[in-house]
Amino acid sequence: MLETFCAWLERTPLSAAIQNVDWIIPVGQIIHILCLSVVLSSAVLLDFRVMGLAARRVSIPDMARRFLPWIWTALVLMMLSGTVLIIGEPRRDLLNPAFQIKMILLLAAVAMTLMFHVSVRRSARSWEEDRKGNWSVRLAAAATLSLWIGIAVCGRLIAYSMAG
Amino acid sequence: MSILSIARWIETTALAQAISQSAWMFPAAETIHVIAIALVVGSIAMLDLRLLGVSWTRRPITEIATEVLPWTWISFGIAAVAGAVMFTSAAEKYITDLPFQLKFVLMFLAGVNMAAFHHFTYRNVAQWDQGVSPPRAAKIAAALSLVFWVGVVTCGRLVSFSIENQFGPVSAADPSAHTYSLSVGSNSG
Repeated sequence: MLETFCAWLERTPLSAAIQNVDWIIPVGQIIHILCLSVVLSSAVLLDFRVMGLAARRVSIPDMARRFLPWIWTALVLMMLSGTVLIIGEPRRDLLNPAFQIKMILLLAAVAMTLMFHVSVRRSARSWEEDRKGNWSVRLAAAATLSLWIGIAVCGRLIAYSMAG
Repeated sequence: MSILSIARWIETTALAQAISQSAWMFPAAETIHVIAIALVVGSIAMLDLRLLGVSWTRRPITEIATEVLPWTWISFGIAAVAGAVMFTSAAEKYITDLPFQLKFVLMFLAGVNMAAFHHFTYRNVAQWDQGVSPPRAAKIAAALSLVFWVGVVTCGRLVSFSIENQFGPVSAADPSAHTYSLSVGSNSG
């Protein structure tokens, strides 16, 4: 089914346009990687803060206010640029195991970040008090950061694990 | 001895041979390189944006600098080592590649900009540490830094469009890429 979808997508005029204009894919990739640097650096500082390993002078809700908007904005831009790349070369991505794993990790990372965002908003005061000893919170931050790194790794490996 | 002959000699070293014959070493180095450069640019951008008065303006500049710059430097070290590993595998191709050369020019300019900022402007940071809007010289340095680093990433990405190794990634722009099959390391061209 995915194969049929790729075959159809490849033949759409939009896909043809992306394939034929030789700067679209490089530009899409450059935007994608610049946004990755925003997401990854923001996630590193935010998650290290939650783990109690960075920026201790700043409260967790303050860190969240500083970094979450950047993470969400960059993610939207990544999804847009990523969609352009997929439309241009559907088989390279959709049928690619590295891409498929990346999407599963992305869902998990977005879910974790969303839960954190909602929690910080709803109970800012308890986050303000810095749940230093709370290991489940630290573990969640470590897991979220690992997911982002896994996403970056899978993203790069798309170029190496080509399908069909 | 010309630069080209040095590049050719590098390619004959045991390390270069090992990388070009290994299925996983180049992809591994490239993945590390990408993640590290992402952290370099992202962390330096945090300081630049503060200097520009765009974000985190409630915090003193020096506090952000001490927090963020270790990430920048460590990541830069990792990116440089991983980059060197990739470079050895096809030194001659890289050194004669325009985006690659441009990337190094931009990194040099970023370095000069940073050194100048540090020596002249940052010296009296105490006077504007807390202020939302630092002096114009600091803002110019921050804007230049952002431009140079975005340029470094842009050129870095373009290197892989102009250079293809049998052990490197399949070019995204290459339509024949669709006919390649199977897993890591088996791609060619």
